[in-house]
Amino acid sequence: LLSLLKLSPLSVLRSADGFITPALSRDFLSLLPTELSLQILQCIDLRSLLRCCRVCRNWRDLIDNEMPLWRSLLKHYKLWFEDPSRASLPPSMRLSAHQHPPLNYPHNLRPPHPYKTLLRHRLRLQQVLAQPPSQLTIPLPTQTVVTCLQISSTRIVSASDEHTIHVHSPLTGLLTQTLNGHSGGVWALQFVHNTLVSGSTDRTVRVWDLRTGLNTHVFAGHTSTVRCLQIVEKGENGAWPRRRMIITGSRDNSLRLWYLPREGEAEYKSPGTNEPDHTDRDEPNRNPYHVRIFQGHTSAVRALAARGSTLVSGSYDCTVRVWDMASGECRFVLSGHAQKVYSVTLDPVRERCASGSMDGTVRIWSLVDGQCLHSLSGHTSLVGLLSVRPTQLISAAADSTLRVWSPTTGQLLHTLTGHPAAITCFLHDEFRVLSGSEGSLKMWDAEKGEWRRDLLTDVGGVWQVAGWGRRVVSACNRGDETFLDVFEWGAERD
Amino acid sequence: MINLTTSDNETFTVDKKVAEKSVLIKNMLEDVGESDQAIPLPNVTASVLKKVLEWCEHHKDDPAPPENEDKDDTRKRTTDISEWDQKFIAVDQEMLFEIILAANYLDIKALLDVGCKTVANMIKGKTPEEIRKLFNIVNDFTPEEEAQIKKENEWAEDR
Repeated sequence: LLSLLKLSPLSVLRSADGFITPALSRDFLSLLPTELSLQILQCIDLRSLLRCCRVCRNWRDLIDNEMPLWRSLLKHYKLWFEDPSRASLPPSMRLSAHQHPPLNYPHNLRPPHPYKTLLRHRLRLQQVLAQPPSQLTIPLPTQTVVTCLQISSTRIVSASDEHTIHVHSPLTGLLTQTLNGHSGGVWALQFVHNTLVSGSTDRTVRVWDLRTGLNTHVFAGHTSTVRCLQIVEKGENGAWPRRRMIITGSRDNSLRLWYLPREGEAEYKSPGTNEPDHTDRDEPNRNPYHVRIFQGHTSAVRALAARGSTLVSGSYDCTVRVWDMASGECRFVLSGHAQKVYSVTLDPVRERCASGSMDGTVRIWSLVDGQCLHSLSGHTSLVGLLSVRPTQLISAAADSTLRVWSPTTGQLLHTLTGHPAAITCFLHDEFRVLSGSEGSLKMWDAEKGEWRRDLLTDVGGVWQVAGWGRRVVSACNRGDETFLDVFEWGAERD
Repeated sequence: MINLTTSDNETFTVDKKVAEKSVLIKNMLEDVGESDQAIPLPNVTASVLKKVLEWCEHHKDDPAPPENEDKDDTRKRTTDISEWDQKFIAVDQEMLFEIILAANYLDIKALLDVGCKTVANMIKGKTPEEIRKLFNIVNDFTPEEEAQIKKENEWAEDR
């Protein structure tokens, strides 16, 4: 055969090659054992890898669902921040989206592993955050301090020391709803989907239907200002709570737990709440949404953080308490702060919590045995704001600085200086820190501890900042007027 | 010297040091102790073993690879294949396939690495159509699926 080939003209050799080469071809990825295919894929750059997904069904299924591959790419690009549990993922990326693909998805294709989607999202975010954002300025019909602010893809909800809650569209900036009902300033609020919960100096907790703008539920029980509240998400894998709950903390030294009314569930309004100084001690017992009261603090409850059945509360009585919400039991009284506690945060990754106090320290506590693991000193005055992410613990203080700490060792990593006055608000994710103070809203690189840009300058107080991913909203004063500013990075959607 | 017998019943006599590049053989020798019996390698043919032993012979004096591989970043660069290895591995796909399987079976990490990196290099930088042609793969997507998959994989073209 060989001698024959040697004598053959080029055209014959070419056609011979046409069937010899395919005969020697091997579809390595499909034919090798999976662990060897993975080893090959680990050598391929992202761009080529994505092209491989388009080769054939088998390659795509192999690559798209190879969790270790996407995890190693996340680590390679330094975009892996501990195990992204369900709670830390935006809703579109949760594992359920993997199991239940979007309706228009070709039904005979499996959607990619969520880590692939996560990598795409984070790479894009990293890219767009380096650019200046677009800005939409919305005047607010209020003159006082903005106390609460939250943004979703379709709504900005803000409240002030006046009695009204405003809902704006983040896209058009138009006022879409005005929620009237509270007879005092609103100091705490949160919404999920179409349900908003608010707490006020009028001592009530109110639930609103954001589709209609109507106040559907009024819960009485607290005997002083409702200062902090949180909607507690349903537990994972059947863990408590079985439905969403509301936890509220008050100046009356107590916390109360309520069921969050489901959309369309029976309305309930505690009687007599429109009368000033009305107090009916038996009322919560008649309210089908009231679950229990947590008593023990000897002064106002200023801050709370809850997840699953764990509740952490910080009080002006200088202590932090850890409660089991399912049983109502107080598990630990964490003593050590010399002055009032203003902020608490939960660190579920490490089973810890942290607290910030007027005494200028931040304390990290174990939720396992209630011990104080670290006392972080450095701030010279009130630590009013705290946030923990898997890689960082950040504190913001009245001494005009923010401090970045290791949540594991308590070591000080960076001090962010540049604001002229007390930090009034901040926002923290793995990519950046935004902080507001008299005169400006600043953006920092938390990992490097460097200033990145000013988002607002020449303004009065910056009261609140909220957001996620590419869109952030802040509330500030310019002269006598109050404004919302919506910042958006990388305006085109994908 | 050690005797190795392949699946097609050919026996190779090699230096112990060369054979011990294979962790599988090394472990077997430790278990069995000194013996004149040939070690059977039922998963490897003579033509492939000849090639593998050529690699082991060339690399017999290489220092053992460091164990403390960075667990946080398991990604590998394909540029670091030595010139000798590149020439060694310039074989047809069938042989490359067999070498990878043999290196895996014989537990020769460095050779497996060279094999995997070589396949990766064949894939890198190519369009889907070029890859299909190279490995003789049939495009089994419907046009609708192809459009969907193109859309969801276009995001790193500038990287």
